[in-house]
Amino acid sequence: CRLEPSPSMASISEEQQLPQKRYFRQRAHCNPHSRHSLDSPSRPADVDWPGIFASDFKEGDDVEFADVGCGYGGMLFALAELHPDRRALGMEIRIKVCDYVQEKIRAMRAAHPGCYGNIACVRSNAMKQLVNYFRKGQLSKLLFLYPDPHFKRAKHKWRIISPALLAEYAYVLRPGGRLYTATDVPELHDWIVQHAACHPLFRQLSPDELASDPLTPRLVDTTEEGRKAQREGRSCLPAVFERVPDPADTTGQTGAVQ
Amino acid sequence: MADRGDNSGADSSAAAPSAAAAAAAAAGLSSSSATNSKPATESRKCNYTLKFTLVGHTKAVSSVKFSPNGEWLATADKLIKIWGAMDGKFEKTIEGHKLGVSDVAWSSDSRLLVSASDDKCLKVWDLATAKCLKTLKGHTNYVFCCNFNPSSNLIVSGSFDESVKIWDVKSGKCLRTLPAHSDPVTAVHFNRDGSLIVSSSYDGLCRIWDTASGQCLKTLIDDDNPPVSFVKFSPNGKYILAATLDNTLKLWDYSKGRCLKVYNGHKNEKYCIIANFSVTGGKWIISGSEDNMVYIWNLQTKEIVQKLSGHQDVVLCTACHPTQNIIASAGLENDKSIKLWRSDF
Repeated sequence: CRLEPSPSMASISEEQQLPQKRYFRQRAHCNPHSRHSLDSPSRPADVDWPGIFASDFKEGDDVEFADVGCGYGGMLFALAELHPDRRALGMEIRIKVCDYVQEKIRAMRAAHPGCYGNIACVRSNAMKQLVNYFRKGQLSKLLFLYPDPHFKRAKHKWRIISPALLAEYAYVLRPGGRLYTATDVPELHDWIVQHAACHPLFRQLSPDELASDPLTPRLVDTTEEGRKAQREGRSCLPAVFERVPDPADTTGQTGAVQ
Repeated sequence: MADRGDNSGADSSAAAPSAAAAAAAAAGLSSSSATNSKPATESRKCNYTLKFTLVGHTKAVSSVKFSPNGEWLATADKLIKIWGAMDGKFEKTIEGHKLGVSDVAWSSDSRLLVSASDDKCLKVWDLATAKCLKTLKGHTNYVFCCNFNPSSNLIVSGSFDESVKIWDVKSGKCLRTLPAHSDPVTAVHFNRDGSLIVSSSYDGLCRIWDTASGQCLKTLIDDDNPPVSFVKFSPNGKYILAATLDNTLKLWDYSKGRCLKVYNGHKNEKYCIIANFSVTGGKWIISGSEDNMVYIWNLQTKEIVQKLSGHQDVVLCTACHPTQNIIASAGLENDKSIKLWRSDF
């Protein structure tokens, strides 16, 4: 009742308790074009991976998965468990939400020694900074789960899947790598399929291929948005694409994005 | 025992009222006197002093409310107690909830009370007989806040189950459930004509609802969104006063969605402390604080005009008398007393 105090934020990270989402809430919609003051590396070679992951990086150790707009980290934690020998980076533009993920990673590492060292979250605007973080062909998985639909036609250019951005995604993804999308908005799903399937460097997975990818069911049940959609009876519409080799690319160079 | 307000400057120093204003104030300690002396009211400070300390609750008090007719003060822990508003004389105890009570409210005719409890129910009480007329069931978690509408045919409630419910008083039935928030609802209040409801929540949002249709008309959001611990409409219905757990009170023009005034200096990070508009004399904002004091701000200038000390614990709830310059305040566990303060302005 009113006589009970609500716990303060300060008490949360002291103990190894999991952070509570209520203290890290931030409204879902965020303007990707506004000049947020975000530190970003100037190029992939300058990225302080050991600092970001708070763990040592051995020879050949590399980040292979990126979850763009990772939110409260649902998929990141699933990736940590499914692929303990691979590293995944969550990218989230909202400060408080990113803080939550970092807090939770700290807490989970403390509670499960030796685990969750392979995931981390950075506060960044992936629409602008993806290629600052990742070299050409570095990633084998790139995920966009329940992105902002930006319903109004004037805002469609802000959608995270667009012809221009698909070119960047094809750049950071290696041939054979996979681009995963999921949404509960049918119109956005159609938009995504239309744009990605038309792109020469992407091929949509067949239903069989989709069914045999172990990540597919996780697209629905790991994230806040996905679970909310399920609770409210909306179906999840996944669309996964394979990055195909560039038929024209014989030299291995496709004009690095500065 | 400290019988005087903490701000010793109030009695003698700056902003000594003009003769006309003082006469007006002395003539009637009620709201209309303020209109004769508007310019002086802005700069005048109040001089609340302790008049009565009411002892009798065995647990900390979570809510204090004056009846609209100015005769009674209702105070609640698990039991609800009724006291004379002017003399602090104990009148009766109303009991019936099985667990703690977080809020209590009066009907407009001062005949009924509604209480919100951790037992997931609200109860409607008849003051005269102290009997429970109706038990409102439906919430699935602690009920935290409640209010009657001005015509008092409806009750609005907010709960830890994240919903706001509108109830019909006569039948005790829930008329509508609003999926209002994504965290506990900390306050609910009707506006002057009952057409709107404002709700607040730990989710950082204040929302305005159309009573008749249940539609959400507005969501107020600031740059940051700290948990909102309390909200209410101003007496004229144009503004809302919202408290957030970052030691801040804000006055919003909700139709424009703009914050007009910010009041701080007090401490509020843990408890859902009640805030009030005082309009019987000067125009003040009143709130309890986690540093054991009652804070009083000038509504326009946002200056702290007085800090009332005397409580031994967090001051969780305060109330303003409808016609007289009287404040009631109550403290938490280490205190358990209710204090009545009076001012000339």
